[in-house]
Amino acid sequence: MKENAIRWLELGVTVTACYMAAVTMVQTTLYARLVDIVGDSFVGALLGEYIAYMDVAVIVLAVAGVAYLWRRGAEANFGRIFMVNMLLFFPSVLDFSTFNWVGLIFDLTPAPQVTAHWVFAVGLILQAAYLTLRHTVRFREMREELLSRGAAAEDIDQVSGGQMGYLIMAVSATAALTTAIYLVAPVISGAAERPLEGIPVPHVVIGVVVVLLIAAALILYLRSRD
Amino acid sequence: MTARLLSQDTIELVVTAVTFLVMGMFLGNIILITLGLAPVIFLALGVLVGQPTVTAVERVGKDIKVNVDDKISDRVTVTVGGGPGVVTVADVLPKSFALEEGTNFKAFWKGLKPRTVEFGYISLCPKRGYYDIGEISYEVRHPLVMNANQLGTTVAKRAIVVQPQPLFVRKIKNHKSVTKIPMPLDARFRFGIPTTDFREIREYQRGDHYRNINWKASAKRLSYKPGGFLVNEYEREGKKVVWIFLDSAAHMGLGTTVSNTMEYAIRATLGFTNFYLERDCRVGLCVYDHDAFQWEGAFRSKEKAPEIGALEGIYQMEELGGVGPEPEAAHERQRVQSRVIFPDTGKRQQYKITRELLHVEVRYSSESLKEAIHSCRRYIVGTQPLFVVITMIEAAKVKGIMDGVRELHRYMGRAYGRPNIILFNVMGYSVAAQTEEEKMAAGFLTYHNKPAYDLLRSRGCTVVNWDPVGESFAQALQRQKVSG
Repeated sequence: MKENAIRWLELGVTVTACYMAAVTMVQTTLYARLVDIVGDSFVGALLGEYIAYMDVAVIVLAVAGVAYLWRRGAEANFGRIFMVNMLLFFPSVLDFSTFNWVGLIFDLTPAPQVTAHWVFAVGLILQAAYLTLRHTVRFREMREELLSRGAAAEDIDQVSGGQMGYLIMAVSATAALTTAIYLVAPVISGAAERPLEGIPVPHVVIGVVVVLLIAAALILYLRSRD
Repeated sequence: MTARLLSQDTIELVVTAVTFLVMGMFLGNIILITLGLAPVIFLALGVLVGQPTVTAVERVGKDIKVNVDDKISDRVTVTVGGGPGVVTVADVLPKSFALEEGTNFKAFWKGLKPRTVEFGYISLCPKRGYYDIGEISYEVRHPLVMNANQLGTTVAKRAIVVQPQPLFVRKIKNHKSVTKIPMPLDARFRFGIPTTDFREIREYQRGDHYRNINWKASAKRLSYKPGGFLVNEYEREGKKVVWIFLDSAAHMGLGTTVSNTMEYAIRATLGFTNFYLERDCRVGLCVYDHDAFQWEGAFRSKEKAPEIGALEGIYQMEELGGVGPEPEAAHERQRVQSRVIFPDTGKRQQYKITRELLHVEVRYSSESLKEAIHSCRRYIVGTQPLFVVITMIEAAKVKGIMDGVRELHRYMGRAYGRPNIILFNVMGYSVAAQTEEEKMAAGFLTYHNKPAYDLLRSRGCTVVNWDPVGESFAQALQRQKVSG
């Protein structure tokens, strides 16, 4: 696989993820409130009937922004792409949160136009994009390094092809397993509800402890293999 | 070989997962919590599948002896097992070798199945030396860069001896009657029974046998000019001796790593060695450092002085208490062992000299020419050898050569006339010059050296200038004949 092919794949992943996040955002309660505020202000008066195109403008602006960051191609730029995507994704997450802190502040009643499954799917696309992009950058760096060390161009293309194939497989398997967990989660939640009812500690505390345990277990496992 | 699993990328994945999980709990959002598991699952998949392991690396090539500018070939076979990933294998060649065909560095992708990869190369060996290619190094990388790279080496020994190419001078052997270059016929063994091979007619000297007087020639001469008798001189039995002194000073490094003055000097040394050995001469080699004349001191005995304890029986001896070390001791030069191969004949001697020349580098010896001659004096006294000094003559440093020539006179005495000394000047400035301007500058510097050549010639030396870029070794000697 040539470097150009990797770059085009990066562009496809970047634009798809950003587009999906932006499209989801323009269908959230928080965004609707922001559009109302803008419409009521002097900006709305200036825009007039063109305010109907605001959704398209936001989507195009976001996609153009990440395309520019993709063009730069450095690892830091790919980090920014992920941050922009998460920023666009965040309002839709709020609509499906039990504790919608932002909604409480702005007195919002969640009325999303998308389903929870849609939001999860978009989130999964963002994660897949994040995992893919951070590795394609490494693959491109490795190409340059191998080239500078005197490797043949055909060998490097073959290495890149193998890496990309493996990455796509790993990301696909991750997405499949995550989806399975998401679908099974309500069942597990229902089963765990009764045993956890008697614990005299807030569930947030338990959650934090569990997260810390997961992180510690991961680190300890990896260190034990060193 | 162990793999470090906590690379920067791995840590980043863990941090991302924890951030999502914490945010999910803070907002009470099952979507974020589930999405937070994605990096953990990705990490687990990568770690569980693992990375490749190199099981065998084999080299086809065997030990070989080649000449300078010859080509060698080799093939390497690598067998890889374990998980998928990137593998790089490098058969590291000596710096002076130039890759002509193929590659000595291979990068390949190892899939889920075991894989065997073979690669090869043809390499040019432009510099003499003994090269031991001992190891093949490899590097194994995790397909998703989750582990630190694993480095390893496999022993796959191969010795490559690159011999310098001798410069043959057979073409000028028939011109000895005309040439002024002292050839080995002039370099006689002093003692030995005279043979029946006529050499020359010379003036009668005290001690000459009356049977050797050439009456006819003497009468002819006396008929028109009063003087002494003339005697016939015959070749003496015994091997003729040739001493080659090779300069290894810093200025001999002028040029590139592959093509420098030293390399040409070594090829010339081999050329002289072969030439004289083929003519049944005894050839000796001594490597010296021209620059060492600047810091040479008084000659010191190499034998250790007897310890004071051995002289306890001498009562009159003054006590040594309070006498500190001599102030010069702190500045005393560490002298390296002499680099000398004593004169001998035949193929064995040729092999010995060739082997020694494989290792000669700049600053190979630390003795000046004068000191080197002093080291060899026991083999010089009693013979009248031919001396070939291969160096790069510089006007500013001509004193070192002058001292050496003076030392030669000292050990050989005046009774047998001037010693036969060839100063073979490898013109290093021409070797180093790349552009037209540099070549012009080299010409100026050579011109600047002319008084030094004249000075050396006045001391009885035959100065042969050789521009290795512009002419062949044989041409340099031939030109000397014509101009001389």
